[in-house]
Amino acid sequence: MTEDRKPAIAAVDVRKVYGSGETAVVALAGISLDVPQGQFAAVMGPSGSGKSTLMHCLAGLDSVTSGSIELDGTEITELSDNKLTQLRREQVGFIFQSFNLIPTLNALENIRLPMDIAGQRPDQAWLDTVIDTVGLRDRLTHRPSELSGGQQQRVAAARALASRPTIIFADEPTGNLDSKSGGEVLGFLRKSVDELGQTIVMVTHEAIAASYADRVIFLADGFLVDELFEPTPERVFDRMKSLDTPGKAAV
Amino acid sequence: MWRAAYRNIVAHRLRLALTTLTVALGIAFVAGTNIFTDSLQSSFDSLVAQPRPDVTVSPRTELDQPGDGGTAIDGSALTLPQGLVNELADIPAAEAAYGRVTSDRAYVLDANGDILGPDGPPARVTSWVGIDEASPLRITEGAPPVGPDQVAVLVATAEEGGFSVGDEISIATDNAGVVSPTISGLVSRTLSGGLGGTLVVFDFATTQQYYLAPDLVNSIGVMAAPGVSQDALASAITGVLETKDLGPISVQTGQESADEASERIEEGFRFLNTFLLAFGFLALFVATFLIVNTFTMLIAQRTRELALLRAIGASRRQVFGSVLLEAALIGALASVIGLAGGVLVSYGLRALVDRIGATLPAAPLVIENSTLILAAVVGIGVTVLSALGPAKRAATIAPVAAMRSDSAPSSRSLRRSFVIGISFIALAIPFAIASLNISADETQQRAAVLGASAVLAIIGTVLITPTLADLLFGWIRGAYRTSGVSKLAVENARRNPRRTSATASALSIGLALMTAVTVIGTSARTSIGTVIEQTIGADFVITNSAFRPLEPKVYQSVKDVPGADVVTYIRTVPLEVGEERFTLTGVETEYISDVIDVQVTAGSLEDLALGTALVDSETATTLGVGPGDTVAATFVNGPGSLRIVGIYEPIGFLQGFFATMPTVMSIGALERDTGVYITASDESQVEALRAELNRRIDGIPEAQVQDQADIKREINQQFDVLFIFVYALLGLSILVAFLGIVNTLSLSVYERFREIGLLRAVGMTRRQIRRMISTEALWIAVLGTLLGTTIGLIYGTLFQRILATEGITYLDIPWLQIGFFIIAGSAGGLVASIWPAWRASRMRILSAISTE
Repeated sequence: MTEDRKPAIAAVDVRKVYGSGETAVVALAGISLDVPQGQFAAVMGPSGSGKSTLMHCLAGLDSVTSGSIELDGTEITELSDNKLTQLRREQVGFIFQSFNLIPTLNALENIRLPMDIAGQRPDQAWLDTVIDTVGLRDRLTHRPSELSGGQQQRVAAARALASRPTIIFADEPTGNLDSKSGGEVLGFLRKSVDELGQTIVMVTHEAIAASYADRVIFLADGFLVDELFEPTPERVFDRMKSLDTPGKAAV
Repeated sequence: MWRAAYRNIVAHRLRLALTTLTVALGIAFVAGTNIFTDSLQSSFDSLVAQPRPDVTVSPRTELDQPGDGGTAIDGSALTLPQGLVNELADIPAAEAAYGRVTSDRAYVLDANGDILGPDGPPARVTSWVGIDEASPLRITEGAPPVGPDQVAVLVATAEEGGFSVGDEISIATDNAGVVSPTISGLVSRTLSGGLGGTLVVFDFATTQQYYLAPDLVNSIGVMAAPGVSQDALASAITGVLETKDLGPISVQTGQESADEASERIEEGFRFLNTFLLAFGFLALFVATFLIVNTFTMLIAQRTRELALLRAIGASRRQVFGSVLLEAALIGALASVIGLAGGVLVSYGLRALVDRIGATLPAAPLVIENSTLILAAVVGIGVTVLSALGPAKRAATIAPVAAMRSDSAPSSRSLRRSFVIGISFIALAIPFAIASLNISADETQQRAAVLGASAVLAIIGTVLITPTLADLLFGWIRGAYRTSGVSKLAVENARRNPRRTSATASALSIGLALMTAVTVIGTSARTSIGTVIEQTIGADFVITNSAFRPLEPKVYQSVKDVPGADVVTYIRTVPLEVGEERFTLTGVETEYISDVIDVQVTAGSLEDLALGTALVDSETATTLGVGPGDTVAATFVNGPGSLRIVGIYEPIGFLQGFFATMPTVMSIGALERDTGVYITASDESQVEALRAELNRRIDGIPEAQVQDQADIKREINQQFDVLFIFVYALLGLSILVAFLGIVNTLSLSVYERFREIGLLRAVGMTRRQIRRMISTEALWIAVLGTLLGTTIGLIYGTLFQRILATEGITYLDIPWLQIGFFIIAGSAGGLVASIWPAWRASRMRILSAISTE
């Protein structure tokens, strides 16, 4: 953790319990975590470790049972649906594993979507920068069905960047891609952190994907069990092996 | 497969509920119509089976056929000598005979001196018979009336006026002004309920004194002696009558009149039943669009599931069968719900028919087996037939579709249906042109050809609507610069043009009919209003509020009213030339042109003399006669002839023959006036004249003084009632169409749940989601509404052209009302979107975005 940078997101003792009494399932067992601005953090863990739940809670898509989450200084756990929606619109970008784009809109329209919904005029210079960074200039009028999987994820990434959010959450952004396209998308995310100063939290189960990050956070059974800075695929893979219960190894 | 079909229904019950409801609504209307008419039929059957005399002897006019059952053109005014009663009682075949006096001018007055009840139904009076076997009337409370100070009143009439036994009641009579006898008893009919209108009963002598003349009766009832058949009695009576010269007389046995009554009733009901059923089937037709939509969408959503079934070994036939089975089960359920709803609809229809002025007898609820079968056959049939296409497509799903992650609906080309649709429309045009070119006399044929054209045009429009939707929404989409909520909504409306247009078409069919009916109705109203303006030159017209002729005393009491320039009257009487019936209007030739503007083109009204007549140019053409010709005709009092001396132009209802008053009286017209016309001598004193006229007819409750505006208002009111009737019936199909919007939207919200989740995740508020769905509904509704009103306008106008020869001369398009239809139709779409929009806005983001 770098002390001189203000955290983009700060979670303190976040617990998430599904159900109650005997049948209660603890998804997050009290997680505290800071992600400073300009950091690319990967969240890893075996299936059921709570990594997706953590991301959903941090992004304000799911409620927490207890604990606090501050996004750019704003406590989000008590916000109304409307406030949360506004927060997502203005401060959060999303990249999902699949179904990232509205099929009826072309690439450019998809990129501009959050701003169009908010009724804001995009910053054209910034938009151009983003579009050129993802290298989609010649694909802007294509609809998602006319784009390859990798191109679709790059459009999604461009959309996430276009509104200059405080933080981007990426949920298995390369899960559905071949390794070449996956590499392109990850390279682009890396570039946006390095060149544009973007903060990114990415959930993944791929060691190679995680190696693009500045920092890897390991989750198991709802606990934050380990952290790794300056990861390489090999180191990440070793760490994962030690965490994984037999038979649940992620590929 | 049974199990699969059943499981699917249970799993998708919410989504299928709307489809079921849609079918059930149509079934409810069809079943309700049958229940309604069957119930009425049963009560009329009891009317047919009511006690009646073995033989009824009644006078008739030459125009009434012997089998007309004594319903003479003005039966109440035709008489037989009272002496005949005893003569008939004395023949050996007869056990008893009685004279009867009847009239329908016994107006019962309320405390204000106004006629009780609505204007339409007759105010009947009959003399008390006292033979139970011969009359359906029974005393239920009190005693039969005896003497001039007692009257018995129908239970329903007493209820309406709040009368009870012992009360005084005011009744208008022909001969003694308004009398106030005491109610001696209440009568009911043997059948339940009444036929509407009021009924009072005096004893024979009193009825004769008030409504007829001494030594006369209106009809004679004869009961057969024991062991004598009705036919034998009838021939014995005919034998007696043949020895006398009493003019044409009808002798009818009880059986004959019962048969005739049932035949007449059946005929009437067959028409009503067909008419109402047409609206029910229209709703079902509209429902088929929605059923097709539902199944198409359900199958699209279940592609993977069906493919899995195929992958594990289900045959195409089995998949096809399971979808059809599902449809059949839904149809069966809808039939059951529809039947229950049908009972409610039957009451609704009753209230509606009551509203347009026909008072119906109370009827028990009759649900015939045929209704049950019809509901089941139609319900299951419509649903299965509608599901046939989607089921076929389901059967062609390849097993590998189970492996694909996306189940995007196949976007089949719209071109084929567009080409077919355009051909239908192209075919509709020559039909429309042909209908306008058919001879003006053949209105029915013209209407049939134009109707065929309308059906072609509607089918054609339904087929090209997907293409139109694609173009229109594509164009609108292009007009939006940013892809905010509104643009996404248009996109959604456009993304599946077939589905959108099926939903819109359902709405447009109902609206097309509504618009056409409105155009025709408004044109008719305006045409009649214009005719009134053009023809009635009088300041005031006095008529009978119950649409019957006036007693001559009305004319007598106003003819010397001060402030009037002209006071004159007309009398109309029917006549027959060949098989066709025409109207002969008797006028006072010296005054008539002051009160009615007749456009005489040959001859003149003033030159009319005894035995001569003017005729309108159309009738002249029909009959092939001109000035100088003699027309042989059957009059009320027998065969005769009229010499044509002139021609005039018919305007609306002003048609037929015109003759002098002496001519009309010579052919058997009664001393009854159709109307009394008054013009003021000083236009500034018109209101004073009106007041004086009202004062003078104060004692004649049925007479009403009207000016042009009053007449028009009255006609408008009648049209309004008709409009309400038709709108209420068409409303059903429009309701079904709105349910279709709810259905389509909720299914597509379900289909797009991931997309909606994504939109929420990237910052769309719940409110914006709701607005997006509502806007989509609005566009669908606008498309349907615009197409519907356009077709309605075109065909309403064409029908007006055809009906111009029937008196609907002027085209009057009620733009304001049509504008209202468009706005209301679109607003209806918004209302229909409330629930699906709410569901969409409540969708959980997480379940939508998390990968399965």
